[in-house]
Amino acid sequence: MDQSKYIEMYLSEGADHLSGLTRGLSADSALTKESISELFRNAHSLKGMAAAMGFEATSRLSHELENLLGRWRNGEPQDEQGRERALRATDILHRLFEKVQASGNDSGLENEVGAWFSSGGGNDEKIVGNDAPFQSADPDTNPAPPPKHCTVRIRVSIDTESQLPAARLLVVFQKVKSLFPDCEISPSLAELQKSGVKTAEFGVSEHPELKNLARQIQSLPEVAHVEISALETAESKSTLVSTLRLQASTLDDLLVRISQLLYHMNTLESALPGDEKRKQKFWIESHRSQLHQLYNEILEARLVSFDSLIERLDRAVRDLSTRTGKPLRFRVEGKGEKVDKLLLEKLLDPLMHLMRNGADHGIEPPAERKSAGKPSEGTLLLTIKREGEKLTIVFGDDGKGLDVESIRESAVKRGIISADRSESLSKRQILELITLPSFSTKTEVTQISGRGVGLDVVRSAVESLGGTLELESEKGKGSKFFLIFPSAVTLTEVLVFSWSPEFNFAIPASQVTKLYPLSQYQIAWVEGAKKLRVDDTFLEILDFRMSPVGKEGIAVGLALGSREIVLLVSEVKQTEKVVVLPWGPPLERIPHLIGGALLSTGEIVFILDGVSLAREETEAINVFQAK
Amino acid sequence: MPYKVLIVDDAMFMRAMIRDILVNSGRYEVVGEAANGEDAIQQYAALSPQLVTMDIVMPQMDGIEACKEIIKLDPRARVVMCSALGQEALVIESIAAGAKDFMVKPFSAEKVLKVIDAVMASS
Repeated sequence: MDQSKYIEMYLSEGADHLSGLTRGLSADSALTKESISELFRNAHSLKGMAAAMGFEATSRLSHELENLLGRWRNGEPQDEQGRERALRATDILHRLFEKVQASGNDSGLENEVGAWFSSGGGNDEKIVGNDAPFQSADPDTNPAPPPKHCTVRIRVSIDTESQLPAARLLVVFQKVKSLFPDCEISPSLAELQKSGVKTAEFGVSEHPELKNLARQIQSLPEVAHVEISALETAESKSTLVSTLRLQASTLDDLLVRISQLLYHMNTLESALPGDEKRKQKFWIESHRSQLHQLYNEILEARLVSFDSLIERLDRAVRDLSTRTGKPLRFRVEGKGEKVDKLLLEKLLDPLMHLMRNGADHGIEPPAERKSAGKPSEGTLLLTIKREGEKLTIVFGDDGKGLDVESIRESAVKRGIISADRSESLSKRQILELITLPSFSTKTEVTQISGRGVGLDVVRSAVESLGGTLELESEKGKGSKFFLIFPSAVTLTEVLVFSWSPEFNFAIPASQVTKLYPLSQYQIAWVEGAKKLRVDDTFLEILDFRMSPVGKEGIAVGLALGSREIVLLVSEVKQTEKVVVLPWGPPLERIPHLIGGALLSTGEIVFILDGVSLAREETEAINVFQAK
Repeated sequence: MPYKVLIVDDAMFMRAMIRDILVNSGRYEVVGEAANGEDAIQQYAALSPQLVTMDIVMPQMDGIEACKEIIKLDPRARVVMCSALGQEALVIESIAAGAKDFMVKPFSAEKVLKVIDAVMASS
């Protein structure tokens, strides 16, 4: 729901809650019970308003703040740290409000919000005190058999999307009780609350009004199915299905369908005459926000915990330790983090690869470690962390690190770069060279890693998932590989641009570093090539424009390893999250084309792989320069 | 004749949103708005609305207390609770106390009308 008339109200009323929070939290003394309740309400109201407006970051953050305050309200001790944390959340909320004021939405602070969440304490999903189960019950008790006098069973299922299923079933229960005051519900309310099961049974008896009751139940909101059946014996058992397995592709199909629905919405909207459009805006917007919510819920359903992968890696480390004869320790941080299932499956290979590399090339033999003053046991460390929209997986070893000089020499010897050029590269850029195909710093072939470090395989696996690979290394101390992914693999944020008015193209936003309007930056000829001048450096240029336009174009910065290359385009339109659909044959064979997508405007966009474009171009340049 | 509704919520923003949804449907008329439970009870007594939408978390007197008081006043009162996710226990408590139904934030027009239409139709 995105109506300007609500935005104003949202901002003004929200500002009151925000200043209430700031005032309350920055008080010198410990908070009284009343002031905590007041703060709790402030956070709660903010959450509700932000959710209604579709401001996800704001509602998530205020939800977590509400939880924190809820714990204090229920008597958990308030410490300085928690106070500090609550204040920081309030600060970020202030800034989110400023965003809304400036741009009409609260996006753009994902890093800050993510950092707040990952700074600990906040992400445990403890239930706030007064939400504790209504009555206590033994969780292990089976649904009680219906009382003896019951001859008929009413079985009611509610919509799977129902958000408070137990409350919904209680409404049904009340309805049943209006005819059968002694009726009982199974499973019990407390169990329903705990399990979130969406089906319940009511034991009743024959009654002339029974059919009518069923009709009334059916007309209640969120009721999906009502079934009346005669009870044969007391032991007729109910089997309730609480989980079901789906193929990931089923969810993907749903996502595609939703984006088609969004497309239809847009078509419908643009077909309406102007005044009609204004009149129906509310409905259109609420429809759209529902679809977006549905979309996000499906994405959420795809997430799985990282744990399952850890087990396999753990085993691999033990094997590696035996085979290399090096004692190894495997440490994992943040394994509870949830990631897209598809991503998790495809991560196994690259991670195994890095692991083998680390054990084989990184970690020194125990004797060498001892003389270097290190513990004889080598450590492999895997860290998984989510920062805003990004998921970062860091794999590190405390081995001997990469030798920048020998990489430089080897690169020159192999003709990958010229000697001159190698001198001008930074340490980081040199390190990046080892991710080029068939590059190796090790001459011998080992049983475990084979020939070459094979980091190019890791890099292309990471990039095919829309991620980037970065590395850091210090001689004698170890190496670290950073695998950075957009958090939802199926949903890619893209930058939409055009070379000519007829067609839209897009690049994954994760590949874009910066936009340089040509009205502010100059193109210069350097060593026979056109380059973009940015302060004191010159960036290589990719130019596919049909008719080069002077000052009106924009240079889009692309990250290629630690270097930056710019792509000249005529116009940059917007960034948008889209479902990327692969092209079928024969279009799929076009190089650099990842796929296509529908924009929320209903237009079709071609999605290009900026990194592959840039790499092909620059490798051509490298080869040229080496000769 | 549109049904008379009293909207109870401490956020003006939420009240405006619910009011628009109800009024735009053409089936409801908002006769009063209250920002806390005590005010809600007084307005209920004065206006005798046919339906009340009741927020749960409010200052002074919360929605559950207010719901109980209103039902004490008028056992046939139709009270619909407005809840956020994670407040299931509170919603259950109020339905057990006699609230007719509930809706979960964020609200959409469709959700709100479906619940309220159903409550009006069934009693």
